[in-house]
Amino acid sequence: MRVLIAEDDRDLARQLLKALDAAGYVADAVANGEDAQHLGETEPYDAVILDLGLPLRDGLSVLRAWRGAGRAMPVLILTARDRWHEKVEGIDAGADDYLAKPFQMAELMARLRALIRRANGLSQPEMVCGDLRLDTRQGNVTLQGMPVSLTAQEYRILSYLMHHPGQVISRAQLTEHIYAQDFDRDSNTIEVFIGRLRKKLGADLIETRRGMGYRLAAPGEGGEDAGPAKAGP
Amino acid sequence: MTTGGDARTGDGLFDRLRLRSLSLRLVVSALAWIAIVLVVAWFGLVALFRNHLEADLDARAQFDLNRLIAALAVDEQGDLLVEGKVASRIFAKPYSGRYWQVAFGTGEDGGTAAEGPAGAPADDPASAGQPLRSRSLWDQSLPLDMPPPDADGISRWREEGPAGQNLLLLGRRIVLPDASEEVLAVVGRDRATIPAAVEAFAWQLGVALAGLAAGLAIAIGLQVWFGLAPLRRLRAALGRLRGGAAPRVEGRWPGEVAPLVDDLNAVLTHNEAVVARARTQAGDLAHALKTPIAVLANAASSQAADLPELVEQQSQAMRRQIDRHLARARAAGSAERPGARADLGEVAGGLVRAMRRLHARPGLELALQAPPARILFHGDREDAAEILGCILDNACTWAAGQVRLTLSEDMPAAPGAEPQRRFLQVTVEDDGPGLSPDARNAVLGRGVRLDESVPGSGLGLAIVRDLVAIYEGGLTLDASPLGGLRVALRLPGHLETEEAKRQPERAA
Repeated sequence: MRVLIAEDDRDLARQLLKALDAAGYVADAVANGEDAQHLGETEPYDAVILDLGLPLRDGLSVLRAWRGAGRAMPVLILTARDRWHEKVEGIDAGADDYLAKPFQMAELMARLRALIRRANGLSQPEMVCGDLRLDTRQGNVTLQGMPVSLTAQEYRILSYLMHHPGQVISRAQLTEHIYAQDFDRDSNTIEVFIGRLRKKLGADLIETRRGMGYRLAAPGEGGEDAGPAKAGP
Repeated sequence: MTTGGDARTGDGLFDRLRLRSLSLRLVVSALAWIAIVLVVAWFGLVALFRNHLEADLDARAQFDLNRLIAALAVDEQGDLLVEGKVASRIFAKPYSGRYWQVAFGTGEDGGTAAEGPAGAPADDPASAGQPLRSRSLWDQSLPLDMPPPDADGISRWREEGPAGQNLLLLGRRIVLPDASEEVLAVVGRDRATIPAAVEAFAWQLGVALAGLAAGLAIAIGLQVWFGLAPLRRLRAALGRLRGGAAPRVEGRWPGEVAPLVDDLNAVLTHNEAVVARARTQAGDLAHALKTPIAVLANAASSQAADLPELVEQQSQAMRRQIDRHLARARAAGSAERPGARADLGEVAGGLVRAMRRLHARPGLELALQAPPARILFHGDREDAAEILGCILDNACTWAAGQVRLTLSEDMPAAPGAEPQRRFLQVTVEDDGPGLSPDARNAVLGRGVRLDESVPGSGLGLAIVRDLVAIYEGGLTLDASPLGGLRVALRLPGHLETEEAKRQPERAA
């Protein structure tokens, strides 16, 4: 999951980056409205944390520009403007959530998780796929009730796949959503990570659609899609 | 004291300058008007006087003419004859300024044919065609290019006469009973007296009017000084006010100044109240912040194990106090704008949209019931949003699945009732766990939080209570038929129905 942070306070931006990283997100941080608008229009973010009092271009107009350009990613406004008429204005501009400063990092993370989940049509914080469970609150994964230890990249890939159940995710798409903007991307490494995930979670959990991408095999339909060779446990 | 005195003289000088400019304005405008009026009067009077002199001269000339005509006769030879004593001594004195001349016909040949016996007496008979002249004409004759007569049959004209005199000439053609021909009778009078008299009159009049102007100017100065005396008195009163000798501007004031003084006193009272309130609020906030600070300081020195939680808790408490005082300060400012109006329906609509987004959980339904009219809150739009937003947010946080917001008029007032005294009824209900009666009192009494795990619950209602109190409304909590809490608000406002909207039009 890739998140854009538009926040001009350097300390707060650093704290946010740290917290997001710890929660298994990758994040880009920008400190002014023009950069924010540009990145939001060109990069596929899963969520945005937007400050309203940004230099160069104010947060509300950045948000309106995104919505006007058809960008539908969930946006959480994080601002010191805490009066209700300001919140209404923010929501009417297209925000999905509104958090007033000062705030607690735990609350921000909870709201961000919920936003991303809702944007993907999921209601529960815990995602299940067969015996596999991923708890976005804790950031842990269990297989048949047993905790599985994943690296950060492996967790990101699995989390992204589990947020899009039943969808075929291309390698490029995965790359875009698990690396920050300035990271030297190499989509071949995705294959390596997928291989490791298969080793840890079972070979038939993630299917490869040749030329298209990857897909989490939902229980019960794994047989049809992956071929009849796979037998039950 | 010396500095205060200096400041006062400085202001005094300034005030005096201002005052002088005010009196200057009055004096200058009055003097300008007087000058205009007096100059016009001078010209008018001089013209009248000149007209009068001209008319007088005309009357005298007419008298001469009439006497001349009355004395005219024709003798047996048909010659003209001037009988009696037309010739007073003034007509005998050469170039005396008064002349007469009579002749038959047009008299155009009079100039040449007038050679009667030289130096003939005035009443010598003249042969036909020979004009008779007064001796004062001596060897000259009167010019006879007569204009057509005026309405009274007399022709009037001016011409240079003997010795360069500027003459007024009156002439008349008459038919004598025994004469065969028309007789032309002309009298002349020197006008020289008129310009001299007019000049003398104009000069004397100018002096008199200048004296009048001086008198009026003095009167105006006195009037301004006397009329503006209350302002000087007011300045002195303000000086006392500043020096702290008096809390208000007191005393009896003329009708023009009294409203100003009353307004000034009202502003002073208002300012005192504002300062007092600001002082109280600053004090309240300071006291409210002292407790969390003390707790934090103690915890820091005792190195308590739960320090992080304590810091968290106490900073929350401090934030609540700051929010509350900020909200109160904002509202105190806006509640004093008596004309403020906000469309509560619109505010509620925006909030409902926001709540649906902010509390987007499955199964939560938010219903808004409002009459089909403009619902006008008598106050600031942002305060209305703050009041409704806090209550709705609480309701959505606690509700199991249903929140209902109802807007209506408190007591449908009789048509034409004064909108200032009307109220709106706003209720927010939810189907959450609700509050016990004790808890309701607690929530309204202090900014306590009943459940620390749900953020913002207590704080919001405290702010709402403060705002509602500032708007002199009402806030009650009870149980809702939905199962949870019902918050009922009474806020100043009214419904603007189509009928009410049409009413003033019909009246107008």
